[in-house]
Amino acid sequence: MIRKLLDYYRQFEELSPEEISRDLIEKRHAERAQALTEVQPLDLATPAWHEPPDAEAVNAATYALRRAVNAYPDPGALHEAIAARHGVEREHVVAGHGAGELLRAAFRPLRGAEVAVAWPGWGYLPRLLNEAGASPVAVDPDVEELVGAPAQAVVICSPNDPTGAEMDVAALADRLDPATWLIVDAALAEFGPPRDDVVGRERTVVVRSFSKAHAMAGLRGGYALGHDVAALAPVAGVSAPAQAAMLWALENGDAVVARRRAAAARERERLAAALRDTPFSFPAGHGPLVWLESSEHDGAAIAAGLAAQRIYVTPGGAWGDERHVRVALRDGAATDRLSAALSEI
Amino acid sequence: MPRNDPTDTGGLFIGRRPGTGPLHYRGAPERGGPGRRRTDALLAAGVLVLEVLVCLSLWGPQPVAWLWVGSQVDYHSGSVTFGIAVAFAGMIATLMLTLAVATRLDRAWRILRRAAGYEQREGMLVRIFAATAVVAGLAFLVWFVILEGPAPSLAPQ
Repeated sequence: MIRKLLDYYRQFEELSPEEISRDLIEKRHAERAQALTEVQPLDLATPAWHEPPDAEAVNAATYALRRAVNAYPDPGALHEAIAARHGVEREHVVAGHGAGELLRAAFRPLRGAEVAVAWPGWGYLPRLLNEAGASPVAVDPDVEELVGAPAQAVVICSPNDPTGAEMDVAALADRLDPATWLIVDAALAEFGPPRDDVVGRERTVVVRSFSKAHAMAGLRGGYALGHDVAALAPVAGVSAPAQAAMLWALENGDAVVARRRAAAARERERLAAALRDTPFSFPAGHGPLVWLESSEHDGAAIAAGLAAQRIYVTPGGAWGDERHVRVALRDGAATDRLSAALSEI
Repeated sequence: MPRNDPTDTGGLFIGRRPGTGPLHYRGAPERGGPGRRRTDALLAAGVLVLEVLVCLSLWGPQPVAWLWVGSQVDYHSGSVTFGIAVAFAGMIATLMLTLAVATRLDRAWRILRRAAGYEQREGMLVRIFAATAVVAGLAFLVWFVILEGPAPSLAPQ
């Protein structure tokens, strides 16, 4: 009787904080124990830079966002900065929503034209050309081949995505027929060696991006250089935060870009050294993108072998190439893990 | 205002304020009928009164009792110091004992209140202890200053 009475009142006793937390603590301990044995996925497929942008670039974008975003942004200062950097007239530059949108706009006049595309190249190029009503024709990324191609326009990607190879754009521009359009996707230009701008040539458009070396893919910023590029400008311009971040990057971002360029070059060298005397190899080039092949496996087998070890790369099938995979290098730890994983395939 | 209203905290806490979470029981308690809840509420009130009396005893009866004990020790041992020491040690000992009893009473009060249907999170001991201390202090002042203190010197000889 008394026991029953006590039991009735005991059910109203609260649990102590330790008892309340016990389940959560046990769950956390189990997660920690699992984390030590779990292999984290490593995404080497995305070509965007793996680190966030410089904090000051984000500050500039945030500051712009907190000012007069009710007004249309004025691209004047940004255009001035781009023109000053490349030593061209202000009329020969235009900012846009990333290199992809600028290329799409640059392809618009090519309706009905046959276009020689240095291939492999940026994966979106054929689709964007088809969308513009042009006929893309894959040509080896070689100056002789491109000059000899019977086309009204030549589109190249330099440094190349996916191979990292640098093309002699100045030589190509010199040798092309003046009536032929030359459109250069230079989204990875900051990773390559300094080169002569070819903007002086008419019927030339060079497109640059802030998505790679400036690590601002999420802001969708880029610019185009060339005669008559004003037509490529987005309606009502680029957003104020994106403009502010691009302006900061142009005026203050050189040191950060140099560090990323050195990091990409270092990881290329480290991977090349690690793959020496193995069936794997990749061509010399610039930037974080590596066009990897094997003498023993096709691209699908390499991608599957890496995926089995939770490392994800882009199979070359996306470029119509069954022998290669594209790898986007990250930091030293990622390179070490990649080379170790390749040795297991 | 609800206890978890963020505006109550100046927006400093996005979620619930610390210490305002729901009561966690070992299982879902099964409360008795209305009659039993009323009885529990009465019992809780009785326990609360008992708690108040126990706390009040700290400020009057217990010191007085220990002073009497101290005086007896002084009388029998002939040592004032020993008498004071015994009285002081006794007061501390019964203070601790009383607090231990009061804590248990407070826990019983919380449980009875919950059984009576209230979401009783905290006990009343701290408030009762402070309130009885203030009341006892005031009563002492009235006794010391007005009734027993300067009165004989102010009163007509």
